[in-house]
Amino acid sequence: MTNYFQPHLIWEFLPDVLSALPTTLLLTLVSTIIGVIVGAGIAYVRMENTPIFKQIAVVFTSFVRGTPILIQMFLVYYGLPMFLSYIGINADSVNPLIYLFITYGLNMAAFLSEIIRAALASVPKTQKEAAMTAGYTKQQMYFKIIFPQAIIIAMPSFATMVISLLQDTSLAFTIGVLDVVGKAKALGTATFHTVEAYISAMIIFVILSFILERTFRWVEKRSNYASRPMPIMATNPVIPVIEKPETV
Amino acid sequence: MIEVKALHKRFNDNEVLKGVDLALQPGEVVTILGPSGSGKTTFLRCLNFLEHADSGAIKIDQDWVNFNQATSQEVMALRRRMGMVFQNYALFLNKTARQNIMEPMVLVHKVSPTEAYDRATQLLQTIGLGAFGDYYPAQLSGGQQQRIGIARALAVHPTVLLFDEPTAALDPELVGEVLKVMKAVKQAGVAMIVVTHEMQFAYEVSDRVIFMADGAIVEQGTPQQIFESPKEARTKAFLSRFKVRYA
Ligand SMILES: Nc1ncnc2c1ncn2[C@@H]1O[C@H](COP(=O)(O)OP(=O)(O)O)[C@@H](O)[C@H]1O
Ligand SMILES: [Mg+2]
Repeated sequence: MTNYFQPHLIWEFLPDVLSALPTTLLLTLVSTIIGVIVGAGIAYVRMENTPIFKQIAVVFTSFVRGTPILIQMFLVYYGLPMFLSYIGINADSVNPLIYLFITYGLNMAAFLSEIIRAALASVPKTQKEAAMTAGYTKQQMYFKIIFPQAIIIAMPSFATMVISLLQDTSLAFTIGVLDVVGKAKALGTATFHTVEAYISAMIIFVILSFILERTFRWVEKRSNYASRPMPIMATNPVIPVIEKPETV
Repeated sequence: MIEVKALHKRFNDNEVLKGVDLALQPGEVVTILGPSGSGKTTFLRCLNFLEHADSGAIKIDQDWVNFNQATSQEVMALRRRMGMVFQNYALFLNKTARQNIMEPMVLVHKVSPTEAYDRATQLLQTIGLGAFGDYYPAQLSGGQQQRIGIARALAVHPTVLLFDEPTAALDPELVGEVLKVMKAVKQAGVAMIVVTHEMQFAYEVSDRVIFMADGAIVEQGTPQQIFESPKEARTKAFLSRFKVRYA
């Protein structure tokens, strides 16, 4: 038995583990996109108090927020095909990734909906009124005034959610998907060097999280009008210069 | 020509406006005075449909529009002829001073961006903020923000501008610069309905002063009539709390 800890294996495993990175990234990206779209929808029906949809949204979000994601994943992975077979659809050949997209996407949606709701609500109401009195359509008001501000407000929480989603995707291996962790697990089992393999995976996650965090922070800085430096100080007088003579 | 007829508004059982009539000549400046809670803000908000009035009608330049059965096209058309200046400025915080002035011109009034840019630049000069076009609202003082708020409303050549206590949120030393810009608006020939507690401004600048209490117009007249010889007891009582230097 040569089952001692062999640090050089960490580096030797890295390329192999890295080969599964696209799966992890795809999982994170697709789930985030689903999360944003569905989350925005949930935020919308909750803010507009759309009957029935609103109640469904409330139950859905508290269910998702109140149960472990692993259980949600099993529910979707085992439950959905069962449900589909009841209504006569055979889901045997569906790529397991699809179940993961659904699970993680809906999970993200529940959390993001709250973030989106809070961000939209925090844009001062008077700006909406200013836009409306100026004759903006509702669409113009949302796209020119409300969304750009809400996005900046939501950005830090959004970044946190995406980075924690990245970590959560590591549960994918439990249903046999070869993401970074799944790959590490397989390598470990095959070589009996489990610890080295997992350390390889860990290094990838650490670097990835770091890059994501930096990127988000950069985007935040770039897009935040409130934190931009002052323009070059004006040289004009600050006192009003009225063109026409006053007669009053 | 701006006319408002029999404007009624209630919040649940609270009848806030009990049939208000008002007519303004082009370019006329009307100041509305009145105690807090008398319905002044609600009146202005009903005019541009931020509040839904229960009955009454409004006419600006064109046809009468009923408050309680206006189509969204009619509301939009009215809003394009009216500007509103808010107590708390309500500038778009994600836009620079110049963009705040330009955007309604371009989006709502379909002015070309270059033309809008030039007009915004010229207005910034007029309000004494020629060098502040690239500043964001958060980087400006309250008085500067309110001057931009006025320029934004003025830029689209409205028939009438509504002011709801435009200087109430300002530090006293910043009030003057805003009132000065408001006088310039009058010079430009735009009709104004001004709710304010700035009595000196009301006295010197308005063509007509209206005293409002409990959702109805109690008394109106020239500034001289209202300030120097008010007829109604409630007007007298209200005005006795303010000091005005008579010219
Ligand atoms: N959104 C609202 N809902 C219920 N009551 C309101 C609302 N807005 C104003 N009111 C009531 O209407 C009355 C007039 O208010 P307002 O128009 O703000 O008066 P003013 O501007 O003269 O101080 C007050 O009694 C106020 O409580
Ligand atoms: Mg008020």
